[in-house]
Order: sequence, then structure tokens, then C-alpha cells
Amino acid sequence: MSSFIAELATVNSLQAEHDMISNIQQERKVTGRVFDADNKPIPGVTVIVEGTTQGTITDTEGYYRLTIPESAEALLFSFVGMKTLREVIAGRTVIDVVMEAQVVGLEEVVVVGYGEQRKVNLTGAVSTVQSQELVKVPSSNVSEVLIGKATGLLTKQSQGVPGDDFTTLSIRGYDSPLVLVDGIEMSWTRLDPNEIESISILKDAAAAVYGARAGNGVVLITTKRGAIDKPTITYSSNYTYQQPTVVPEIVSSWKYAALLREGELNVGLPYTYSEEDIQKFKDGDDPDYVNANWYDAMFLKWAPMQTHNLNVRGGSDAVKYFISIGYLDQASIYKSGDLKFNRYNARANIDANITDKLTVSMDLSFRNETRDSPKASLNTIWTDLKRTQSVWPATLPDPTKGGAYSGSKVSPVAQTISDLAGFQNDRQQYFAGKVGLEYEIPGIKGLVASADLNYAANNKYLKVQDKPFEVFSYNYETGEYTSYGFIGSNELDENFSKYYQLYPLVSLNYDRTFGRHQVSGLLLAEWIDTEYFYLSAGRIDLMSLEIPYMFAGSPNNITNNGGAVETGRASYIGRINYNFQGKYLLEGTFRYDASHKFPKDSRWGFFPSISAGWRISEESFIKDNLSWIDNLKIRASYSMAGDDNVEAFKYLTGYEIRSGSTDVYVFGNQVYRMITSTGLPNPNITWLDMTSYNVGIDARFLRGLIGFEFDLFYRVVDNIFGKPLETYPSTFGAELPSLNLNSTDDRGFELTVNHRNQIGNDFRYSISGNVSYAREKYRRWSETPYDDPDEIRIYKKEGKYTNRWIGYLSDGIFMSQEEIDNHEVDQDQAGNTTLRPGDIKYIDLNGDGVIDWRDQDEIGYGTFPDLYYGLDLQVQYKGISVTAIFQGASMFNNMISDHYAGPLTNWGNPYEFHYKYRWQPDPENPDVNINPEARLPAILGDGQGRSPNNSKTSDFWLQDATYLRLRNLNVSYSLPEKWMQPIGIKNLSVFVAGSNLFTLSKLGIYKKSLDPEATQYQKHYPPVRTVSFGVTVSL
Amino acid sequence: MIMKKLKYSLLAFVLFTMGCNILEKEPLDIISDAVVWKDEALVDAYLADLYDRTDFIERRGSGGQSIDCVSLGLIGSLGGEIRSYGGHHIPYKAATEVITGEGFYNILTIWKYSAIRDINYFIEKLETESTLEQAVIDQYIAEARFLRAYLYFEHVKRYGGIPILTKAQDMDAPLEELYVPRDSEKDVYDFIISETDALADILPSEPEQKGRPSKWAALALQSRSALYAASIARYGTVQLDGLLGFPASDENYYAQISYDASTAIINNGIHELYEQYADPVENFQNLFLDESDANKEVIMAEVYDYSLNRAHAFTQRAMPHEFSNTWGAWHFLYDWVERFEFADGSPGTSISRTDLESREWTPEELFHNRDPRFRATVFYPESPWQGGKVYFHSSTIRDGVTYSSGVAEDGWPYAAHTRNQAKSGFMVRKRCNESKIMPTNVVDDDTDYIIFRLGEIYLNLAEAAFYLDLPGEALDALNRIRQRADMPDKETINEEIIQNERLVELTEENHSYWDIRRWRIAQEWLDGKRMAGLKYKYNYDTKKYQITVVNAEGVARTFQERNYYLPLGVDRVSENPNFVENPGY
Repeated sequence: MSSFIAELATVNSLQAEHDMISNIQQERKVTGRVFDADNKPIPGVTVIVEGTTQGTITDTEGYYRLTIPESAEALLFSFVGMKTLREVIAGRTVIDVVMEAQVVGLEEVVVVGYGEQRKVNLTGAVSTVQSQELVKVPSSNVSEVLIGKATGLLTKQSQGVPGDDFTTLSIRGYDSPLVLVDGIEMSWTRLDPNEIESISILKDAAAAVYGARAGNGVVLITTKRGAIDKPTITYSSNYTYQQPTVVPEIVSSWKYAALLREGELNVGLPYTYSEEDIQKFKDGDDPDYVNANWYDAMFLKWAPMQTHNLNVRGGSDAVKYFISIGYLDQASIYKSGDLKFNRYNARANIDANITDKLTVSMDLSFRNETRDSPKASLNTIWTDLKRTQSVWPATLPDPTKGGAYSGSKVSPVAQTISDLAGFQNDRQQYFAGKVGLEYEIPGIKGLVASADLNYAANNKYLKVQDKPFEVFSYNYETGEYTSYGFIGSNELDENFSKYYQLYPLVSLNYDRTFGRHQVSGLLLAEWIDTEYFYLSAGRIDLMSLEIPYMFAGSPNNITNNGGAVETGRASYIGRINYNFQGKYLLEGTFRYDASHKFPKDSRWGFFPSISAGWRISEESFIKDNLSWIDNLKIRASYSMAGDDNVEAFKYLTGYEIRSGSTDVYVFGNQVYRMITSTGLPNPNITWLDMTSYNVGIDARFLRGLIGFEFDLFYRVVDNIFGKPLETYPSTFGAELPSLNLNSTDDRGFELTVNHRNQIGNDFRYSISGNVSYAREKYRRWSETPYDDPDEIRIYKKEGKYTNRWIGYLSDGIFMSQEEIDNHEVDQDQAGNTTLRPGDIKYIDLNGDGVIDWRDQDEIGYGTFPDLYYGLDLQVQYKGISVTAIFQGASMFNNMISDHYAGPLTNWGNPYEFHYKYRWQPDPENPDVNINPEARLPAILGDGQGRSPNNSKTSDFWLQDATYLRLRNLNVSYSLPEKWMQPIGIKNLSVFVAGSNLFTLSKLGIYKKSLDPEATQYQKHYPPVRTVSFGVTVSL
Repeated sequence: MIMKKLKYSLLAFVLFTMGCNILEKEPLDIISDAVVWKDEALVDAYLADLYDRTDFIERRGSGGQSIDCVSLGLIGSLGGEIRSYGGHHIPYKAATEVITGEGFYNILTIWKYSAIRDINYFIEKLETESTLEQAVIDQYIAEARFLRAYLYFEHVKRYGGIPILTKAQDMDAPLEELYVPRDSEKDVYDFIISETDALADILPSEPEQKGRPSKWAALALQSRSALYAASIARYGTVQLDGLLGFPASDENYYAQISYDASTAIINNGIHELYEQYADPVENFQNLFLDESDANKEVIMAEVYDYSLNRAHAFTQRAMPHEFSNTWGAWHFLYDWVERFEFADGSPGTSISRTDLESREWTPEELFHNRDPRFRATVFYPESPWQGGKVYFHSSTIRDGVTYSSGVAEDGWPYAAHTRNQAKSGFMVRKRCNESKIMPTNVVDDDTDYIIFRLGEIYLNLAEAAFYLDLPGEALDALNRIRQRADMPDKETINEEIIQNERLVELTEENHSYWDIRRWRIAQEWLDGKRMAGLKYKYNYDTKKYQITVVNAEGVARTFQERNYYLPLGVDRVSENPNFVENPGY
């Protein structure tokens, strides 16, 4: 109530002043009111005196008041969604204006290779992500932030390790794209998202300007720079909780004991647990019959992460600046707290006008990353976790004593504790610096010359101590510990590496409009020189485990190693753009590129591209007749690019010294090193050639109400490395050279449809849906010259899709021994003597009565999705805004394997779905099933997991992993300015956000124990769901 | 204007030269081919690599959870000696799975034409390009030929006839040359015999360094391979128009070659059976561990030295888990234990399985009075080890109460380590190094791996003599081995006696599977069989064990008639139109 009155009071006083100033001519002040086309006042419009940083913002009723210098000529009014308006003052003191709505997006400028372009003038396929989208849901990885944000950018988030990146990014299903940060290839996934202004995804000819590296598309990350404005100091902070998306449902100890007993009886082995034992586990009152949950013992329910960023942005005519410092601290779900990541980062991007012709820019950035983890790798810990048994307590009464025996000779809880099992400390520093000069060449209008020198470096220091720890079981009755020996060894390793990149470039830029013709051009030359070297050393048998330094190691078995790699690249680039009246757009680029990886004669490559656009909406027959069409453009492109992401020097023949520390041979008492051939050389080796074709339509109707983008693409990749297998059978013996032999092609489409609207003054919303589809085929493939029709059908790749599984077709399981005995097909090539009830039944595809390789066929899609879809919803009401991103994928599969397919593999704990759906013998008649829900094979008690029959690759285990998840949700609230302004705050907003909040998937019975994107079966750090709270303050 | 032009051309020049320098990178870690043949150290390193890739020991067991690591013990498992602890271990799986043409564990189906090519290339380059001393060249070529012969033997015993390549094929060779057809099994054995014949004349009688082949190693390879050929001629059949098998008439021819080679070795005055300890158990244990010059039994061994960073994981895999978190992964099957006779020469089955279960037994009655080689080969209940004892019992009965955990006041553990109880009640002691205390490093066993030893040669001789119808000589050779073991002489000789003696003496030395295949008894012995193990309950009051005979294997073994030859596999047959697959696949 009181705030409402305060609001009224402010309005009244401003209005009074407005009226008063009209009468007083002497003050150099202006006031006014801003309206939209419907004559409604617009609050929040920025009003700036042209050529200065002086300005203000309209109040809730659209009023503003401003002191202006004598010399002021005009005011600039700007507001999101409106065309910026320049109003000449002409002596007035009251200036009321009407702003015109602007069709959203048409004025948008996007970053493209070596420059920027207005989006409407683009002739290539480019998606962009803006800075505000990157900070809505906090994450320590930029690649995670990108999930679901851009059409055609396909992702798979397989793990959620703190400070480590396991999100696969792909443009249109291609291999890894080239990612550049302000033009430089560098480690980018752990940039502070607050430093990023925009991310452009160049998908077709738009990428071709990057030549030999561009064939898989290019992602351009552009950091923020200063702007002519008063300094804005922004502080933002958030606190995030992370949790695995899926915690596998493992069976409790009595079910474990029961399944083990059943499994042992199934294979005729003596059983470990009697019925009485199982009952004791069930009762749970005997301390020696525990029900342990090793997951719970290792992992927290939630792990925290916090980030802080403080930046200042602003500038004057002379100097513009963006300066940012940030901090991130991320804990893991390890209860020990010994897996964690933190990052300090700083950036200063400064542009200075030295003279009116000469601009200098200087970018400096620094990042310090600290990763601590236990010695045992993620893989080890997760693999070992699979082997634990719930019948053994996960912790000891005295946890400092050592590891708890898990029933197997692993002790993963202890392995997460660095004090016990050793540590792995990774320290990395990144430094990047750029100094650039830009000079407007006098005499030729529109011609600018520039020179940049980039430098990027990365130091890495890794120290690993392996500590042996003793493993015990504990007897609650007697209070005795029983030792099960040691895990780990007494070893210390250190590795230091250094990488640097030196990257100068010079360019000439031309941009000029001659009447209805706009012409721009670029000529550029660049050179990239990198060097990497490392030095490593190791000691064993440290005198004391508490002294993790080299000098404490034994003088025996000392190891050390080192190595270096150099690379080089030179390129000459040209581009020309022509634009006639904004109707006909033409762009041509070329790049002449060389890489050190290839021999002198085939080192240089020429990569041209051409693209054109026709803005039909600019033609008068549309403009005059169909005014509801805001924009309609068709575009087409053709480009050639490459990929040189291959091993260098394959054109040389030679030998490598086998460098592993145990790669030695001994005769007598003398040690010998070993050299091994690098294989036959290919003197003509060169990069992969990619030819892309793209046609697209961009459209926007009804003043931005509906937007539409559609792209159709086709890409041919030639010169893929292949071994000449047709010609050389394996008896040839040599490591065959990699020749540029093979070819694949990709086809697909991308569609984005969006709808934006504003209802009243305060309510705005947008809905944007997107679908991308891409599929790759082997176009030409060097392989064994198959002649048998079945071999051709099953093994031959040429002409077939790449993303598919080959295997057997199944027909459920054998429910009884009788069914096996009556089965007419010889399924095991041994008269079905090795089959048991519960085994998978395979279909005899060719009807020859035997299951052999000829009965295989294509059984489904591969593991990377071919189809992606997403829905982006944004709603804004006054200061409240809600963003929700749904994202999903389809046309891919998870191959159920490992412990998921083989319960009791290595006697590890089975999952609930095994208990529920197994083939279960009738105790009275063990050849017959009594489980009405039986659909999985019988449990085997000998640790083998799956029988050979059930281990065949088949559709039985191929699980459609189609999913849809609420990838991001953000609810934020900006406190009203009128509350903030009095206390000197420009903006204060708070948000609550989440990622991966819920998931729908087709994983069926595996749903509760499997994340659809985690192909590693939770054998690695699972993807996480997060919930964040954050605040942003701008001064 | 001129100045301007000059400036631009200067700029162009700078740009151009910058570009060129940046691209002139050298690989920093590659040694060119031409350098190798002129530098003895590099030739040594090339040859060392060839030795390493020959994999005398069936891989070193290194490499964490990798295939190498769990593949040690494969041959013993396939041959029915042991089961590997984990149902998922490759030795266990390989023994039970049906071998099909689609592929099998590549640790069994090795295909080392890459090593063979590199050997051929090595020989060719040394012959034509090397500037080293001729004597050195000759020695190295001979060693390389030895490795090649050894590798061909490894292949022929798996597949029968395979292509014999003695030159590195040229990349530009015509297709018909590249698509080499299979040579016959007989051709391959003949090649090995002719190569070893030649090498016996070239290789030194006593090589300068341990680990390199001697004249006697060449003859040992000949003794073994000719014996294989003779037995296949005797027991096998000719198939695929002679690609596989020998005419029966060849039996004597090959037996004679083997007999001659064995005789030459036995009489060479250099090698002697190892008899350094009065106690036959201690002697037999140390035969595999004694790396001093006193051990004259070893004809060729691969050298391991942990301090030089070359080690394997045998002990780590074999040693019972409770000693230092070793794997205790190999469990002798009771069927194999029964092959060990009692000390008086009575058969190992003379205590029947029914007897076993019908009363209580002391370890002395069951194990101590067996062939001394048993105690040196097998961990059994209360085997002494590293100052303690190895236990296998699952519980202890005392005053009518059953205890399955805890320790009695005299230190008696009421139950053995769970891992020991679980399988067959026995583990592998032979070749296990008692001095190894883990866990400084898991792969730290540096016991040399014996490739050929005189004990085998005696048994080769016995078998060849038997084939040649020289029963007296056969008996002498066989009894010589038994005498060393302190076992009573056999008085008669037959196939079964020869076979059993060989399997017992050479247990866990990677012979059993190959032997029972070439004798063509593998199918009868293995197919559909599940071997037995023993479960022990200890009676504290009587100090005796109550025994139950149980299944030790959860899955029946498979060995099909066609498995006397492994399949080349769909891949190899389809890549080479001149290849025919072995019968049955």
C-alpha cells in the first residue's frame, strides 16, 4: 500500500515539473513523454543526449526529465522492441515523442567469421545465442549452457563431472566443430558465461571462411566489449545445488542374497546364502546381516556450486571498456568432498580511439583452474561401485582405518577419499592476450587496415599420488577387523606441460555504399604457430605417504619422460559482399590454407564458397500489397571446406620409440628400449574435403508475431581417411597408410517456428519450437571386397547409414527347458545344449535352421540422435519473467550392456529391474518360470553376468532412448526501478532456475536406473539436475 | 610511388616468409627408416620390439582391467587345469563358449602377420642396407628367424595351414600376390623344421645374454613342433585336400626328427635337469624361480626384471587374495588334482570321490602324500605360504557349533577368506614367487618366463620314442622325470601314462590345451563337462576336514570336433578370396 502511494507521489511531482518547465525557458532542461503507436505511454525507454553518456529512463507513466548541455542537438530514444528514434531538440524544452515498434530481430547484428553482419543480410545459415540466455541457468561448462539453445546444434550430455566437460556438441550431426573465442582456437568450455556477449553457430557456407578447419561448422564465441555509456557495475552471484539425474535402483541386501542364491542354483553351484540367511537380511536385526547402500555411502543428495561475477562496462568516445572478474566453486556429490573444481577468471577488453583514424584494442584474459580429485579415476570408482554388494557394510566403524570390504576386492567409498587412497591435483592456468590496431586509411573512404597479435598459453601441472590402503571387514559380534589386503600402490607422479599459441593476422576491410549498391570486402592473412611440451616424472615406494614429494621416493624404478609437439598453419582469406537495395545479396569467400600436418606438395588448399539471398519482402509487389509480410528471404549457399583434425606427419615413414614406462625389453641384465614402425606412409595425405549445399527461408509475418526459419542441407565429405582394405588382406602385415579414400554424406533439415506477442503494456511472451534432423551415410567406403550377399547386407558399409546397429533379432526368452528342447533352430551351433531357460530366443532370419552371423540384420539407430527437437517458452510480466526450455532427441538407442544386462557380473549388486523382470525358476520345477512378469534372462550365479547366448548384439538389448526433458527453467524478478533508483541501484533482479528438472523417456524398465543421454550406464559421473538461486545487481 | 611499391613488396615478402617458416615443422618423435639400419642401438631396439611382440608369456597381465590383464591363465583354463575366479574372466569364458567363425577372444586367435612382416623386413634390411659388422648382422638375422619360426608354430598349432611369408610384401604387388593362399599344415611344420635345422647351425651354443635363443632353443622348438606334427599324423585326419593334417605315414618321420632333436639337447653337456634341493617339493618350486647359473634346465627364458621396469603379473593373479590383495584368480579343478598320483605311484583317483565325502580327512592324508610336484604346484588347505597358511574351509565345527567367522584362541580361523572358499578349494602355486609382497606395484613379478626347459624335452623324447616303437627308451626318459620328482618308476608305458606325466609335469606352463588337442582327446575330456571342486568344513575337535564334492564350474565347457582347428574367421576369409575356412565353421 505504501509503495503504491509513493509511486503516485513520484508521478504527480514529475508531472508538475513537466508543466512547470514548459514555462521556464532559462533552464537547459527538457522533459517529455514517450508514447507508442497506440498512444500509450512507454515506461523504461532510455533517453540519451546524442554524443554524450548523459541519459535517463522514462518512468512508469512514460515521463522523463533530462539536463542537457548547451550544445546538445538531438535526443536518442531507445527501447527493446522499438526502433531507435533520433529527435532533434531544436530549442524545445518539452519533447513528446511517439516510438515505432520494430519488428523484432530484423535489426539484429550477428557475429560471422572475421566480422559482423546484419541478420537480414545473411546469406548463410547462422544461429546465435545471446548473452542473457547464457546466464539464466548456471553451469560450470559453457557447452552445457548451450544445450537446447540453438537450432542445429546437437548435444549429448553424458556426464556431470565438476570442471570437466562431457557434453558432445555437434553441428548438424557432424564431427566436432571448430570453436573460436574471439577468433582464437582455445579451451572454451570453462569460460565464465558472464564474459560472453554472443555465440554464433555457422553451419554452411558461413563457416567456409575458416577453410581447412571449417567443414564441421564453426562456433564463434564473442566476449563482451565496452559501449559508449556510463559505467555500469554489475555484480551477480548464484548458488546452485546439483544432483544426479538418475540414481540407479540397486536391490537391497536380502534381494541380493536371494538373487545370488537363485543364480547359483540356476548354474548348479553350491549356494552362498541359505534361506535363513536371506530371512536374516530381511529382518535386519542381526548387525552382521546389513543392508548397505554403497551409493548412499559415497554420494550426497545435493552438491553445492557457487559463482560470483563482478564486471564493469561502459565507455566514452575515447575509451570503451569491459572488465570482469569471476569466481566459481563447484563441489561434487562425493561425500568425501575430495572431488571439486574452482576457477578464477578475469578479462579486460579495452578499445581506445587514439586518433579519429586509429583505434587500438587490447584484450587480456586469465583463468586459473583447480581440480582436485581422488587418485582413482572416475571410471575406476564407478566401475568398482558396480561390483559392490549390499550385503557388506559400506563403511567401517572407524573410517580412518581403511576401506570397507565390498564382497569383491574393491572399496569404492574409500577410493573417493584422498587421505586414504591418494589424490590427483590438476592445476591449470590459461592466459590469452590480444593487441589490435585498426586504421582507417585516408583517401579511400571505407577502407580500414588492421593488424592483430594474439597469444594464448596454457600451463598445466598434474600431481598424482597413489596410496595403498588396507581393506577390512568388520565383525559386529566380536568387534574384530579382518584384513583383505591392500588396494593401490605407493607411487607419485608429476606432469608439467606448457602450451602456447602465437597468432598474428593482418587485414584490409572495405565497406561502402554507392547509391543502391553496398559493397564490402575483406582481405586477410594469418599465421598460427603452436608449441606444446611436457615433462613427467615418477617415483615409487615413498618413505612416508605423508611426504608426497619426489625426494621421498625410492631410488629404484625412477621414471621420467618428456615430449613436444609443434604445429603451424598459414592462411590467406578473402571475402566480398554485394547488396543491391537490400534485395539481392551475394557473398563470396575464399581461403587459401596450409597446415604443417601435410607434405609440402599437398599442404595448400583452396576453399571457396558462394552464397546468395533474395529478400522478396523488399520487392515492391510484396511491400505494397502484402504488408503483413515483414521479412521474407530465400537463400542458398555452396561451399567447400575441410577438416584437418588428423594426426600429423602421416606422409613420413619411420619409427617411434615406445614410450610407456614399462615398454622395455631385457636380455641378461641389460635393458633395451623398443622402437616400432609408424606404419606405411601416405606421401599424398591431405585434409578431408567437405562440400556443403544449403537452401533456406527466413520469414517473419504480422509485425513479428510469427517467425519462421527453414534450412535444408546436404553435405558430402570426401577424402576421409581409410585403410586400403580391399587390396591388402591382413596377411600383408603392415600398418596400412591412412589414405584419403572414403566418403560420407549428410542430409537433413532444420526448422524453427516462433511466435512473439505483447498483450497490454506489461505482458509479453514468446514460443519458439525447433526441429533438426540429420543423417549420415557411407557414400564410398574402402572395405573388404565382400561378395557374399549376406556379407554385403550385414557388413558392407558403403551406401548405408552410419548411425545404426547390426545384430540379431530376438523373439523374447525361452520360458522353459521344454521350449528349448522343442526349439527347431540350432541357436548355439551346439544343438542348443548350452542354452538354459530364460535365454534369449533369436530369429532364424534365413530359415536355415542355424543361428549364425548370416542371421544378423540392421536392428536400429545408433547411439547419437538423428532427430532433435526443442521448445522455448518465455513469458514476461512487469518485472517477472519465466523461461522454460524443453529439449529432446530421438532416433537413437542405448545398448543395454555391462551390469545392466548382466546382473551379478563379478557379483556386483543387481538392480531392481532385474529382480522384478527376471526369468525365475519355480522352486518345485526349476525348468519352468514362475514370474508372470519375466522378460529378462535368468540370473547366473557364477559372476559371468550374461551367458554367451545372451551376449550377442541383438535388439533385445537395444533400447530406444527417445526423451524429452525440461532442460532449463528460469524464473526471475526485477525489482521495480522506482524502489531501486532512490538507493542508487540501476537494476536488482533475483532468479531461481533449474536444469534437467524432469525427463520423459522411452527407456522402459530401465528408466529409473538410466539417464537417456548417459551412454556409459552410470559407470561415470552421472549428468546432473541443478537448482539455482541467484541475484544480479547493477549500479 | 616507388617507395610505396617498395613498401608493399616488402610487406608481401614478410608475409610470405612468415607463412613458410611456420609450416616447416618436423615431427619431434619419429626416427627415419634410413637411420635405423646404420645404428646398432636402433637395430637392437627394433629387434627388442619383435621379441616383445612375440608374446612368449601369453601377455604380461599388465594393463589394469584390460584384456591382457585377465587373459593370463588362458591356456590352463582351456586345457581343464583351472577355472578362473570370475565368471567374466576371459579364461573362464573362453573355456565355455562355443567357438564360431564370427570371432573369438583374440588372445586365443592371435594373427601376428604384422610381427612376421616386420621380421621379414628386418632380415631384408639387415641383409641389404646395414652397415653393421657382418657377425652382428648374422646373429640378429638368426634371432629374427627364430622368432619367425616360433610365431609360425604359434599359428600352425591354432589354425593348421596358414600362408608362409618370408618376404615383406610390396605395396605395389599385384593383387594375386597379395591374396596369398593358405599353405598346408605340413608345409608350415616343414618350414619350422627346416628353419630350426638351419638355425641350429648358426645360433651359438651359449648366447651372450640370457633371453636370446641358443642352438638348443632352436632344437627345442624343433623337438616340440615335430612332436606336434607326429601326433597329428597319428591321431588326426587329413582334411581340406591336405591343407590340414598329415598322412598317417608321416608319423614316424616327424617323430624321428623330434627324437633326434631331443636327444641332441639332452646329450649336449650344457643342460641338465634341475636338482639343487634334496627335497623334491622345494626343488620343483625353485626350478621355476631359480634364475642363477645353477639352473641348467632352462633352455630359453624370457627375462623379467622389475628393477628395470619389465615385469608381469603371474604372482599377482595366482597368489591367494588374503596375503596382499592379490587376485587368487586361478583355481585348480579337482579333476586336474586327481591327475597327481600318490607318492607310492597309485593313481590320484585311488581315493574315490565317494570316499572323500564319507569320512573326515587330514591334509596329510589327501595332499601331503601325493606326488611331491603336487605340493609344489597347488595351494591346498593349509599350504604354507609367506610365513602363514592358505585356508579354504568355509566354516569350522567346534563342540557341535558351526562358526563361519572369527578366530579360535589358538589362532585357528573359523573360516577361510571368502574368495578362497568360493571355487574349487585349490589355487595355483607353481611359478608363484613367494618373495613378492604386494602392493608396491601390482605388476611386479619378475620371475623369468621359461619358454623351453629340459624337463619338457625328456617328455618329448618319451613320446617320440613311443611313437617310434621304442618303449624302452620312452620309459627311460619318462622315469628320468619321475626320479627327479621322487616318484617311483613306471614299469610299463602307454599313451595314457605318457600323457598324464606330461600334463602333471608341465601343469601351468601353457601346454595342456595344445597337448590334449593334438592328441585329439580334448573333445572327450572337455565337451559338456563341468569340473569338480571341493568344499571343506573343518572339524576343530578332530582337526580334520569334512569334504563335499561340488561343481566348480557354473557353465559346462564346450569343445567341438571342429575346435581341433580354430576358425580363421569370417573377416579373414572374406578379405582374401583365396582363403578357405576350416571345416565345421
